[in-house]
Amino acid sequence: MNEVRRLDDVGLLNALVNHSVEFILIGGTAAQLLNLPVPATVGVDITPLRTAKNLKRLAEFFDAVHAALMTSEDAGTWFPRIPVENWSQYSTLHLLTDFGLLDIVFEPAGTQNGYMDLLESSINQELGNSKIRCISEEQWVEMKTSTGREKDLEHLGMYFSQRAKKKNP
Amino acid sequence: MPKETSSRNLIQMARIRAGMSQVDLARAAKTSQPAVSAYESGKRSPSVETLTRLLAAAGFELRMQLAMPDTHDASRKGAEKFLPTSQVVAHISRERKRLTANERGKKT
Repeated sequence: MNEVRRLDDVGLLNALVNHSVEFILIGGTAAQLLNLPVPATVGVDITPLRTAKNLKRLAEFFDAVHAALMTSEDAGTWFPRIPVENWSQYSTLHLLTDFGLLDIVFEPAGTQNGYMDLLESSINQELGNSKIRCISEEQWVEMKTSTGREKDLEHLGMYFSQRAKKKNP
Repeated sequence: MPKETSSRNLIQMARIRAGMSQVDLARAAKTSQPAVSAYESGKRSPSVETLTRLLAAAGFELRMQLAMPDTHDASRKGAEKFLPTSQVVAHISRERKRLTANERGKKT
């Protein structure tokens, strides 16, 4: 089992950048970075580019941060990094790392080709000394709308309600 | 049985996206403003027919689909017990502060 001593979203994202992993930040941390009026849960969600080269970099990153699979029974199960097809065939991976929780979401809601669909409208955001790609506010709305989950509708409700308040205070 | 919250969020979201007030929506959907307010606050749950009518009045259509239960949040919640409690609490507190500042139009 992994022992997580610190929760460090910035450290986790910097580690991805340091391993030259190409990814787009999505989910709660993206909302946080965009300063959207919705609460972000603990953990980072990313959509990585699904090429062999990038998956290899991701595998190296997994080793560096001691990534382990989260399952309902276990807090962290080590998994073989190679061959990458073993883990990259899944649409989502829930991981525990030295820096906290990380979800790898290859095909987030509202996309068919994951990273490639998000790339064009994504934006560059500065994070510490690194620059990372993050979904735009419009993409965040689109993704939340696509899932149709109650929690996402709740967040959209909060988002639109506050946007309306700011427009007509 | 978990409380259904989708209706109120859908109605509010559709109304705001359409740039309508509760009075506008009530008029367009042939209902009253207090009824719209009750739906949006979650005090009342509309029937599927009423929900469809309200969304249509704002220019949207209701689409339903079956999906397997989403386990993402449950697994995140379960995983939190393996994280340093003090840091999870600190994260939640930071988020609360950010949201309060956001509401006041400040950047944290």
